Amino acid sequence: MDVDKHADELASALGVDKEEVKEDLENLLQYSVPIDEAKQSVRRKHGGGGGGGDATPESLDVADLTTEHDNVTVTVRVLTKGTRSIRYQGEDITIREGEFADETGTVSYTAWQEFGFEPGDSITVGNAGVREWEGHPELNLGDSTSVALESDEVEVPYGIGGERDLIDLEPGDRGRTVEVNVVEVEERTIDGRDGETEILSGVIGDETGRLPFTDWDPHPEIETGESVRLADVYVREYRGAPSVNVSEFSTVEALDAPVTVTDSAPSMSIGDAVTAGGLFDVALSGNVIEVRDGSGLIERCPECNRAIQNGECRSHGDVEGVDDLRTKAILDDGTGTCTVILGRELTESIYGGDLDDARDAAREAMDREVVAEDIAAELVGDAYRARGSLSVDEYGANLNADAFEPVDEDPETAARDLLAELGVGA
Amino acid sequence: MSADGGPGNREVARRLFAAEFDDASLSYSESDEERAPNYVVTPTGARVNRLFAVGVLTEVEQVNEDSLRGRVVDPTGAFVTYAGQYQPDEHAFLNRTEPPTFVALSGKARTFEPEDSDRVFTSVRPESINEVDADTRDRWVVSAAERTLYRIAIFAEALDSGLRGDDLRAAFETTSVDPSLAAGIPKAIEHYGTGTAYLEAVRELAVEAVEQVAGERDAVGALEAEPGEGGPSN
Ligand SMILES: [Zn+2]
Repeated sequence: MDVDKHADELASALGVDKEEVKEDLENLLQYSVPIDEAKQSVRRKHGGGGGGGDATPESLDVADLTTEHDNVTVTVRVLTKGTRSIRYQGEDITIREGEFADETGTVSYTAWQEFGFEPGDSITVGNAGVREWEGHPELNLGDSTSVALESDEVEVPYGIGGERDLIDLEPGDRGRTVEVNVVEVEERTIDGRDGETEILSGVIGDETGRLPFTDWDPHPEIETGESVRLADVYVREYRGAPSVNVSEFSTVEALDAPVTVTDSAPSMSIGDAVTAGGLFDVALSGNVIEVRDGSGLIERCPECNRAIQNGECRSHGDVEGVDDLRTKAILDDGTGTCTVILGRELTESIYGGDLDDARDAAREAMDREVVAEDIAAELVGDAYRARGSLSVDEYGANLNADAFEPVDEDPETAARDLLAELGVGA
Repeated sequence: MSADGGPGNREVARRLFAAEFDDASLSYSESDEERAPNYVVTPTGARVNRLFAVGVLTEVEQVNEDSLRGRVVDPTGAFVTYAGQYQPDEHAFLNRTEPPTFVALSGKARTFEPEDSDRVFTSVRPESINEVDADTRDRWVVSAAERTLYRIAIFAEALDSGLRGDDLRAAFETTSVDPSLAAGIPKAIEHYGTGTAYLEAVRELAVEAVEQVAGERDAVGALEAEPGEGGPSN
């Protein structure tokens, strides 16, 4: 601990000799008094006026908060409040997180106990700690913090409450409320921190987008096709994309009016999508420049469903393979490249036949590769648009496609558009 | 890891016109390692390991017992590709395909300098060739023009900046410029001394190719400028 820094700060605030302050602080710290307590005690001793005087924590505008401050007092409006359980030094602790604001700016907070404020309240937070979180100051409300309700409303130029559209959610968001349709949901058993737990996972959507979600405390209202209001959810990052987390603290309410789910996915260049590090639902266009090994008529392990070669599964040894159709196509637009994975149905429509047709063709040619060759002859060179979820890891980018279709934009129109953009031609 | 590292090390298939690829004479490897990727750097700074071209297969020729040579022609010139015994599928394709046919070609960029020549030739070692239609060719022309115009714009800014070599590369790293261009442009300036006259000629070539797809022109003019014309003195 940098006692010097604290002593410096105190000495200049109190207008007394630094060495004296430092001696007092060190004396208290010897007894393992927390630094915040020690500083308050020293303040009082040096004419801090028994609290409430000049030497109480600085009262600041939110915009003036920096990570250099230790303790502050702010008068703010509560914008959002989310509840979450975390495991801290082996103990489950319920914390509240969200954002405060005054007319100068916003700041996030973490409260280690329930102070009773709610979004919309105007409050004065006394003696809040300041810590750094991702380069920004964040308020820490603990044992030594006081919260007083203000009767005068703090005017703020920000929306109050956690209501958001799905497209506006970002990893790190807390205390959000969304109205969504449950696109798909399944029950899963996971090994949680307290042993086996049932959870729900799936996809939710609204007019602005679709995102994956997890419900850690299954709510019966969450059923496929139902529209629900999810209050007090938080957002984490999953494969580079936001993922919505519903917890024991969330409120789930069925909605009478159904929520419409958007049909479209954002389009971007493959280079940008790969740089983004993963996207839950994205549309990518490019040329198929190659069909990779492991395409066409393949065999899967009956135990784990993984693709196998020569009747041998990496986990299950010699197995009786189950036939399937799959395509792994390299899609490349000149800015980036990814492997598009097409399941049986999409592969069948490209191949122009089903699994039985593929087996017949393989038998006739006495070579299973003919199926992949036919698929490559159909795809390679042409421009396609693929939609699905993109994951990126050290081995490359994979798009699990829900849809895959030829680009049908007229090239003459594309050429005219480009010329217009350049300001040349008609 | 290749120099542009990042997630997924598969080389992006670059789009560029045949006339510019034909002007390329520089190739290099990032390291002496056998598996290190080899790059051809073009006069406008495209750093090409893999390329993708769509054009008309105009000729297939037997060059020796094992190898076939195909010419894939775009609106500006020809890509030459050799398929030998290590490219059995591509060899078979060239063998059975009757020119003229629209084809899509992807493969590795190569340079070679015949012993009795002081000229450097470029070629493509094919990874895939397939028959496509006229629309696919026209779409490729538009995308090759887009990538080329983007490259030229970045190149022109680099010339203006006055920075060269490692300084230029370092300056690029602070921007969102494609890492492969950030590596290719400083090398192109050093090797070709590429100047504004050449940039302007390639720009004109790209625009004319797009005009042809738009139905506004019958033919694309030849690329006659030399890379070093109007270049920075060095
Ligand atoms: Zn298995």
